[in-house]
Amino acid sequence: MRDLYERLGLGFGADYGALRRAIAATKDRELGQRAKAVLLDADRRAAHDAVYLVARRLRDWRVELLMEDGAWAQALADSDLVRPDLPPEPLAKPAPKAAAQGRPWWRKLLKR
Amino acid sequence: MNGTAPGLVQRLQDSPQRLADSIRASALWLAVLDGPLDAREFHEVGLALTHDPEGVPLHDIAEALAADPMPKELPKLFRFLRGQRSPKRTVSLVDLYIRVAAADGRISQIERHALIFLSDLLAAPASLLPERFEALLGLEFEAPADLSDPAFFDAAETAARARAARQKAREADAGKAAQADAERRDALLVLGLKADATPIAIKAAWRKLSRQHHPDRQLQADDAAKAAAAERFDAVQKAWKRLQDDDDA
Repeated sequence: MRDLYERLGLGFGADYGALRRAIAATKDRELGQRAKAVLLDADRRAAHDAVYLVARRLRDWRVELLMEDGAWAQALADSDLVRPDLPPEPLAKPAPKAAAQGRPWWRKLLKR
Repeated sequence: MNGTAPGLVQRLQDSPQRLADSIRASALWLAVLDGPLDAREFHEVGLALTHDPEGVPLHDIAEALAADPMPKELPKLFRFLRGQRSPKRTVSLVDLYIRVAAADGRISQIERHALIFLSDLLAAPASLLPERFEALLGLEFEAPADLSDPAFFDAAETAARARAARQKAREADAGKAAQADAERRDALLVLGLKADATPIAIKAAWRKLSRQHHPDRQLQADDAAKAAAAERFDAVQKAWKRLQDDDDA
């Protein structure tokens, strides 16, 4: 299971607007598609977040209890929420702030 | 609410039977993680160890953890359990955790994450959890689903829509509803189960009977026995499909 929030450079509980901006700004196409389909749908996000919250806390406890080399952490090598040592892939540059997004879309076209 | 949990961890540390109480607390923690404590889960923890009147009452532990299932002080409890691990104790604790997680009839995604965490906490080899899962429940242990993958939700939503459509059709026609109930009872009978069978029991019975009557296992049997086994195998698969359609399995 991928840590969508961390990979998007956001914290848990980020609002809808911040999520949309981060998804638009990400260069990782697959990450963008996943986040769009899972986190921008209220029902899916609620189901995702219930599991994410526990899995993320367990991952923190793995670090605290020096369990990074656990047998299952090795077995689930592709899961960000089991492997605390897996380097996250945040955005190359941070998502644009809300103020920068305030411009009407047609201004961008005029600028070109 | 949060004031209860530090008190609990401290009480467990001061308990004259610290190890037994800590084991109980870790099992109850697993039980409350995915929702309110089920009476069957509570019963399973109560059966696991004999209780000393001087220890922390089970109800107190359950209440404190129900108020806050993920207190910040809980790693102290886990660190103690990790320090007390031994090969024999690891197996018995993994068994206890599996029984508690399965007591309510389903293994949730959160419980899968927690089982993996507890298995690693006890430094168990990765093979132990699937082995004990198979031995105790007759099921294959499935790693937690990838909820960051839209395909998981697509499949779940498609199944839910199909179930809702079937339910609606039954509600519209009383005859169909009665027929569906009778089919469900028959399907459970084929698997040798009662009407209140849990999803875990249904899946375990299906796996057991499928293996028993699989055509590949009848190599030494005569033709009549092979035909009987094939017929039984088909009936088991039909019953399983029927129960899956109703989300019973």
